[in-house]
Amino acid sequence: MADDAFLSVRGLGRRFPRGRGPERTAGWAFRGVSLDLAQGRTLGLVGPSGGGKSTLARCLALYDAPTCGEVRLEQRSLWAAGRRERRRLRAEIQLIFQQPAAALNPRFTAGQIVAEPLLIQRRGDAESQRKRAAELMEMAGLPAGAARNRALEFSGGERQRLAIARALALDPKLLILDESLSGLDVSIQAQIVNLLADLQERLHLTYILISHDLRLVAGIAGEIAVMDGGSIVESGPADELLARPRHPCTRELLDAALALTPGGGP
Amino acid sequence: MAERTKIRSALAFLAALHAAVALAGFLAPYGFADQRRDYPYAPPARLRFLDASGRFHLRPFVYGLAPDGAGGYREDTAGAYPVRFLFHQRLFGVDEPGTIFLCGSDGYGRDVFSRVLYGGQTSLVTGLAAAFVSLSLGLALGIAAGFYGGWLDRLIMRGGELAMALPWLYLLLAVRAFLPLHIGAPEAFALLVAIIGGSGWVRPARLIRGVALSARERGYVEAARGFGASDAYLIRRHLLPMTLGVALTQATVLIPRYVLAEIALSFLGLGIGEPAPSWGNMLAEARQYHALVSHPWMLAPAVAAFPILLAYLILADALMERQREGG
Repeated sequence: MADDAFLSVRGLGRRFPRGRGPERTAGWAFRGVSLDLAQGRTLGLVGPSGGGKSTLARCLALYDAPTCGEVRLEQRSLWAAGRRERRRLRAEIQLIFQQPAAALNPRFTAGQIVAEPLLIQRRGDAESQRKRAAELMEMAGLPAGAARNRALEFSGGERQRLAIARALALDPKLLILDESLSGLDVSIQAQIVNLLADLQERLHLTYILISHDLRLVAGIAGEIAVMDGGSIVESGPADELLARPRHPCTRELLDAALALTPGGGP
Repeated sequence: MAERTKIRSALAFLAALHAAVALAGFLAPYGFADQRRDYPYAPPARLRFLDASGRFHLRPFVYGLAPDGAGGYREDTAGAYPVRFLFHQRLFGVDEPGTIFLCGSDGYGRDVFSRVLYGGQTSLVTGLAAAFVSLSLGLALGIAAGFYGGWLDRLIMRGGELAMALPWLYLLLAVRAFLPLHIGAPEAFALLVAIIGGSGWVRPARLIRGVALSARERGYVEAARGFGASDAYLIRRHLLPMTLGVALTQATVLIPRYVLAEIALSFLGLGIGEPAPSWGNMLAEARQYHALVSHPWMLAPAVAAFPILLAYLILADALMERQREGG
């Protein structure tokens, strides 16, 4: 738990209001979450649905404000920052959503989609934005002529590549992928995993990969944190955690993953 | 595919009719206030190609009119007036003292055909302007309510219910009661547009609120927000294009309804006053039973309004069908 960690989260929690009017009660989406992550590494965040993973991701990516706790990226506190500073920090952390298809405006062309963050942050003129978009699309393994196509004309895997290309537009340091690989079939999943590994090496990116599928995460992440009921129940290096799971929730996830592996179960 | 042809033909038809009305100054043989007091309630003129001796003329002509002694007219074959084209900067006309009343004349001897064309300008522009007012209000309020939600949403929606509950016809009557008896045509027009347009914003606002509400939850709007997009950017780039389809369909529903509203209000004497014609105040003249029985051509404005309203409704129907298919 070094103080100079790239990303450090301390005692983070978020309450959300439940119900309306007099019977309004507040529950915790997650609470007491602490973790550290070094630059260039991948953290796998696994757990059953409803465990607070997505809400945590939204707090880390500056979408929703946490109720308590602190997030630091390279020593800068995310939520203590002023409006302008936070706008800049926003560019450094990118969240890729659960459903890439919904995250792409069907009216836009692929080029417009990828260039949108540049337009919003007013980086460069239209010409340089177009060039950068083409560059990003190539980096994400999309065909060069695809910039004029609309989002709906792409396959599931290509849409995920588009979402990744867009997320890279602002040169982020931390990429949070929230169930981004879940809807894809296995061969496409493997292609995207390879792309992510490739990009990590080239751009020195740090990933937080959120999934309910421990098997998928185990193949990519160096470290794994298991989240259940709104808190992290177990965390550690991936191989250690997989070899000697201590928490019942981890064991359950592991069993579920093995049952799906060919030859691993009935 | 069938929808597309429907939309295209309705659009072409509407464009032609609107162009005809817009070009009234050229297409109409007379000005809207030109009177021939000696020819009240003249029947529609007959264009003829054969003269009394059976000879064929390539250029059509009309006979002069003479009283028949029973309050009507008969054709006076002694005077024939050939139709002249591009005559006095109008498309067609005849030499004085001949008359060419294609749809007859009214009680002041004014040409009904010309007045239908000029009156269409009043009625259609009122419909278009009022629809513009309604849609602008509906877009602004609907987007504000749907996008921001919370108390603003509740305020706008309750306000909408209040506006729906207001008896607008009586409000218009009350406003007119406070104004001088004869107000100018521009003031009457502005009042009409404000009242008709102001009363109709609720429905488009509700529909557009629904679109905005669902837009707020879309992944791409969330994503854009994540890149640091301002509300103005989100509304301009993502929300407005989404509401365009609904706005367009609503326009095609509202325009004919508002044209009809103008006709109804002017019919009651609440719209544009004489001598400026509108389809409503022209029909008001045909209110009496004797007018309907003896001078059926006075119903020409209704005959003109009908295909326009129908074409708008067909267009609205086809647009809605296309929207449903498009998801």
